[in-house]
Amino acid sequence: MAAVDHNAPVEAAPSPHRAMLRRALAHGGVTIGAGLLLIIIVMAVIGPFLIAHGPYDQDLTARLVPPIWMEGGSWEHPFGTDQLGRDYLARLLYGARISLMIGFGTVFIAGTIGTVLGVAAGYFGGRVDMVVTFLISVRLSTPLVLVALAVVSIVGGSLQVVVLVLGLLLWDRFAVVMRASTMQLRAIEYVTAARAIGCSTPRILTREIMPNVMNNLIVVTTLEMAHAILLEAVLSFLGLGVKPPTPSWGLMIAEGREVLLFEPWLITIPGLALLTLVLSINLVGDGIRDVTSPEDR
Amino acid sequence: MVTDPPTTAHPVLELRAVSKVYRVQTTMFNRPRDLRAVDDVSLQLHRGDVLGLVGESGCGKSTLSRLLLGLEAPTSGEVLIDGKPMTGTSIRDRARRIQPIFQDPYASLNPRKTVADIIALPLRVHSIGERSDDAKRVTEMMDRVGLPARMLLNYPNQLSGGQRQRVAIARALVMRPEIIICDEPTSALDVSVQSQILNLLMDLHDEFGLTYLFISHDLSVVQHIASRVAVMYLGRIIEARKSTQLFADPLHPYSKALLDSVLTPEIGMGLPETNLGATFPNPIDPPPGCAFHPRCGHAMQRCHKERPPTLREGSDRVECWLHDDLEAEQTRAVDAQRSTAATPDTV
Ligand SMILES: Nc1ncnc2c1ncn2[C@@H]1O[C@H](COP(=O)(O)OP(=O)(O)OP(=O)(O)O)[C@@H](O)[C@H]1O
Ligand code: SF4
Ligand SMILES: [Mg+2]
Repeated sequence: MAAVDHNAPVEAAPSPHRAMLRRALAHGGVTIGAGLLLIIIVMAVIGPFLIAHGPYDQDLTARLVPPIWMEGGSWEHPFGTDQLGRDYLARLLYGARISLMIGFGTVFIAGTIGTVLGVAAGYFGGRVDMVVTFLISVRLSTPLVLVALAVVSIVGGSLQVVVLVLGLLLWDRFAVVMRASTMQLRAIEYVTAARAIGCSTPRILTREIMPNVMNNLIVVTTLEMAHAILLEAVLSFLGLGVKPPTPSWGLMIAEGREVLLFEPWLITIPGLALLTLVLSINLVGDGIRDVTSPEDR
Repeated sequence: MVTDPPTTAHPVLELRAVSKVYRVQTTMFNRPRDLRAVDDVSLQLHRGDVLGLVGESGCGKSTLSRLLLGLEAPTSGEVLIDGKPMTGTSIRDRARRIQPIFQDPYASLNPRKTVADIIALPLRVHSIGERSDDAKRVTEMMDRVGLPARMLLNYPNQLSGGQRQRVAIARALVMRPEIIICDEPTSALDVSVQSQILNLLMDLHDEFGLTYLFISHDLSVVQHIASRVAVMYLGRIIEARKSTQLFADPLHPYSKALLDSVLTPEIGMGLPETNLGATFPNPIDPPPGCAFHPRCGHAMQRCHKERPPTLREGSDRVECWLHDDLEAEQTRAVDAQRSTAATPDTV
């Protein structure tokens, strides 16, 4: 029995999870981003129950009512109404739901495809890697917006179609990042040790590799979520996203375009909402990248 | 030879003429070249042996250890466990008998797992004992390697290098394997901790009746613990003898150069300057004849063209034209000694 070496601080260093949480809370970007995101999610979930008007309720007698901070505004419609007299706040809150569903739905599909392909390529290398690398190049040489436009114009736009199309298109960055980070870990000694212990490949991938590439996965997830939300807005703006009465922010901007000169709030309100949502997601993503210390990787 | 006791009938681990060739793409447009990382190596490990393996960086020591662990298959030749070919055994059987300890304790422990989870992993993978006994077995093992039980739930980043290496040792031993492949287990540690870990390894060797392959840059470490030493150069074992003999009287010019350099002050600083002039050759283009000839002070005409006879395990030998004649004589002497004394470590 050898003596314990006492030359190390043991209780001083916090566990990696707690250390990261501590750094995250001290990081301004993460705090602000996560706070904003949380507010948007809560409003999207419970907001529509708190206001009297539905997002589809038309009132042709109250068309283009200006918002409360402008002359002629009233508390009846705090954010005003659109050309069909629909309450703009109600539409905005429903639109947040659409954007979040697009964001989460897309990264769920794209993240699954990209992570499976990338981890497989990075871990197995050889032929598997060649095939995946080829798929990534094919995907990268595909003009994203054009393909999305083509598919949606053929199949017809709906929330499900948009999520599916974006999910099947936006997996490339997941694959690239997961491939690179898995490759770094493939020959690291704790993975070799697990192999020498006799762990099965699925066990090595899920218990040894995945927990150590999670941080990168989260960062890509945030980036791609913001990307998907913006793309949906673009598609809807071009009339090829979700179908008209649905209150998507992109569609709201498109509908407001005709009266831009006279009623600019119809564009600035959903535009600012989009900006805030994308910004807060990106703040969270950048922050997570910052607070992930090297010893956690 | 008839008198060999049954326990030493088979070496516990044996390499027979094993080679590992990697195809490497040197530049994008050339066709792939062959790199012989391990070249026609024959070695035997007997129960209780501590076989030291020394050689410069890139000579193929880690590749050899991966072959012994069964993590890679040899390109040619055979690895045998207890006389049975490794290709016939399952990974799980192999894992229960041979375990590695790696150089870098900062890379060998998953940073996302607690000490308890790391040490218990082999028990869970092999369903050894009841799950509820895991904690007991783990703390027992921790105690044996000198880790206090209060570190059970610590993460690797909360431990020092020496403590991490103790965790790696506990993980390797918790299944009670017979053979441990140590790939430079102390060279990443502070000098002050190195000897603690070495002493621990030797205590465990005696306590559990282990067999070690001990890879090291540091000849002073090898001299300290190894019963036999194999010197590796460009994928080949060029001299393999009893430790006391090799250190007293190295036969191969390369072993001599290595040994001379041990006396330089910086022990533990990796393989010291060998004063060999020419640098380590490119393993993709090994020199013809004796691979050591560009750096050898004794090189003769035939060394440039003809490779000295291949070292065969089973007797102390050396792969060098200088000892061509000496070799036959020595083989006879060793055989004679064996048949009379039958000591297990004569090999
Ligand atoms: N997977 C691989 N593919 C191609 N070449 C490899 C591979 N693994 C090792 N090599 C090459 O084989 C040779 C031996 O490598 P190895 O890691 O076994 O050396 P080593 O003696 O352990 O060196 P060190 O002391 O630096 O650890 C090197 O030239 C290395 O570049
Ligand atoms: S064979 Fe020749 S070159 Fe090689 S070590 Fe012996 S003397 Fe030197
Ligand atoms: Mg090595």
